[in-house]
Amino acid sequence: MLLPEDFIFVTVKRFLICRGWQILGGEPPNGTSDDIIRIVIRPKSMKGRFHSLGALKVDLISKRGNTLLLTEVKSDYSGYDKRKLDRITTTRLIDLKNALWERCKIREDDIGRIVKSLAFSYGKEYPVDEQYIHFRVRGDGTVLIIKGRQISAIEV
Amino acid sequence: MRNRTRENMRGGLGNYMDGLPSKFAIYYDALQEGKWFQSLDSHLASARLLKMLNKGQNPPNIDDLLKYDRPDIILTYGSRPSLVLERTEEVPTGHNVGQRFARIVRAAEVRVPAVYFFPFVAQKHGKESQDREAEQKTNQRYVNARLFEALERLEEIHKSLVIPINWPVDKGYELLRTSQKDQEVQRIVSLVVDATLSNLPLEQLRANPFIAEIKEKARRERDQRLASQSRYSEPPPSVKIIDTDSLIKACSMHKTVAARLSSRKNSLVYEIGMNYIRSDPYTGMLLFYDYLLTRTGPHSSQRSMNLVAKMPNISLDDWKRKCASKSARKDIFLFSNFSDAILLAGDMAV
Repeated sequence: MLLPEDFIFVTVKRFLICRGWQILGGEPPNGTSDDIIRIVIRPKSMKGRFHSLGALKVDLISKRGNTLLLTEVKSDYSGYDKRKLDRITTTRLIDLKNALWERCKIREDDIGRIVKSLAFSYGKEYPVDEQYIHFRVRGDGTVLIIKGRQISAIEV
Repeated sequence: MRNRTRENMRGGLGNYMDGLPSKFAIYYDALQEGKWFQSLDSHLASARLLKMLNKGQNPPNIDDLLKYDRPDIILTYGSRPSLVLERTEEVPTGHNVGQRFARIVRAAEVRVPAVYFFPFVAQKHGKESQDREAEQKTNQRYVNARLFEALERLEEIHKSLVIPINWPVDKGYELLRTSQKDQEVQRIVSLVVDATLSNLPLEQLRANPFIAEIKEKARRERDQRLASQSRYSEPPPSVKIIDTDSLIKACSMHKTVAARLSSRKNSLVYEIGMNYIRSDPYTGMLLFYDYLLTRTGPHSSQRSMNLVAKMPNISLDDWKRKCASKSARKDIFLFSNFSDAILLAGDMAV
């Protein structure tokens, strides 16, 4: 059964907080969330009326120590979200770092490693990329963590 | 090779769907907002949290409130709606000013108290803000005063209760994110809950001193904004008020449309620059201008001047195609029901 996106969002957010992650911000589904500041990753050159062109948002951005965790949330696995996170951590990395400085006053030096993750409903299994974490959420609030090979040593 | 860990977390779907029986139910658009609302009053602790479904799949009183748009929260007691709440972190400026207006309009029409929780002022973020920050300047945006005027007119026309509440900010104009920000909204929700439990008429709730105080704060904000900006003495840039006869002569329209328009001397033309038919923010803005500038009574036929939606980039064929679409479209419904005429590309009026 596919779970609503907002349920997955709330469950994963609570899970991360319990595990000592600091939620820096993001983009809650369908609205606002009290403890989530909106972090918009804008291309450096865009100003004025066009400041939103090419802007990207990540659903949840968290930090623990010097590890930054980016999480995209959907009811089901989304290849589009994965490609978006890949872009943000490569061609748009500078924009991500600028956004983190602008909204959270986190410097480039404060980030040692960036980990990408996808959160979606438990059910069908999807292959996990070696650089990714999957959070598979059940209706009872259980979270199953699947880590890719390259990040298996990271404690979530 | 993959590492698997199973984590048990408190509370799942079952947790928030169960709970003690309560006559209160909270219909939400986003779960995190439903939970926030539930935390505002102890009477709501055992309220059922229910996701708003698509129109037609909710109880009739809920579907009725979704007729124009989907608010963030609807509180019901039994089957009766007690409150509609809309909250946003965005300062209502530019086109944001009316984007959420239709949600409040429906609540007012059916005389369900409505709370609109938004920042009256807040820091704008983005590249320009970074530039200003480098110069040690703030980059705050203030609410458009016309929103308060439109909300007051809406309340007056439908003899309802519409309460704008400020989302407070800190000294740097950043939004407060702790429960400190909820003090006023919490008190209003408690008043509504008490009024619901004691079956208090809307008129008596409106007369409550705290509600009067909150509304006075909004009026003071409106006056300050009006005094500080000369632009408010002119109609908004996307609006033109023109003589109806000239409008009829300049456009190609069926005689029934011309006859409908000619009953009023003037017409308010709201120019919509969209390149394809969509709702946000235009449908909300249409209703916003209706209440701000034309409406004289609760029915959309009661206007001091015609309300015309001008869409110069939309062809008649496009419009007809969308109207014929089998799925009920919010944009077509609102444009059709809240305009006296729609002016399409080539000055074709329908």
